[in-house]
Amino acid sequence: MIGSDLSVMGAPMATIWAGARLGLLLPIALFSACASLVAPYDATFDQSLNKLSEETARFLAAAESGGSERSFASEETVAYYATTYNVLDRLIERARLTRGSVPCATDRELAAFAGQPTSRTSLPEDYLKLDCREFQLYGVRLYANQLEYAHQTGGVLNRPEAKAQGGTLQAAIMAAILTFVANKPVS
Amino acid sequence: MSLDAVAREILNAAAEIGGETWVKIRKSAPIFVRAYAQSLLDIAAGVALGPKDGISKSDAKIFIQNARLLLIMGIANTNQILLVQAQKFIDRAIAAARAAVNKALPISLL
Repeated sequence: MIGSDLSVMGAPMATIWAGARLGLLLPIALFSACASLVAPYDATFDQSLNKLSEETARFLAAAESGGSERSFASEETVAYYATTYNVLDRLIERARLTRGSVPCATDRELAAFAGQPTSRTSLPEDYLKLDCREFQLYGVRLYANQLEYAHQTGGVLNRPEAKAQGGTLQAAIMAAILTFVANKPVS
Repeated sequence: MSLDAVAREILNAAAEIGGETWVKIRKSAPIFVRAYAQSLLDIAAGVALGPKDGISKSDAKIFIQNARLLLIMGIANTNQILLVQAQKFIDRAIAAARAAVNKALPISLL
């Protein structure tokens, strides 16, 4: 469902990239000790994203039930966005350091998204070279921006906004977790 | 106006288009289409309440665009298909299901 797992020469790999380039790059990567087609699996990513999903669910539930999280200016809200962006930015940096050699097929779409009025995210100059893990993390950041935009507009996160934008953010986190888990070695 | 109804309209339209792209994405498509359908329902409910207690129409337009992006990017990333291939297929499916989806929503969005 997520993608196919390839086990080659005892080294498990997961392919989630798209495009004809994969057919050309794969044999080169197999015989090169230096080239890495996809980044190795690192449990930190999906564990951190799972924790972010839990914290987001807690925050949204509190906002929906009328807690102080409803207000954009509350301490809880400021803390939620600050820690969310902190976690995502650290994960983005971690992913960048182990970037796979094949850019994500959907990188181009990030520019349109980052240009939306809801965005508070600056893409790096080499955004067309992001691998799919980095792409997904930027995606989550942009959907967190969208939630924050809805929150800031009017100063409160009303129930429909919490449900709609919170739901979309949770879906983006789920998509990111699926991408990272796709790289998990087959046991 | 159930989630199942909205998602089913889009998935049925996608299955009817069929082809190589559908064969590749049909296993993972339901999870992303359901998330997209949920977004449409939530946004529609917000718009129906008006800008003060819900979601303004101008904001809804942006949120719908971003929800579509999540659908396309999610499907393209978790299957071995090109973004442009995913975009074309999903846009065709949404266009084909537009009338039925709008009917299933509390307020027309597409």
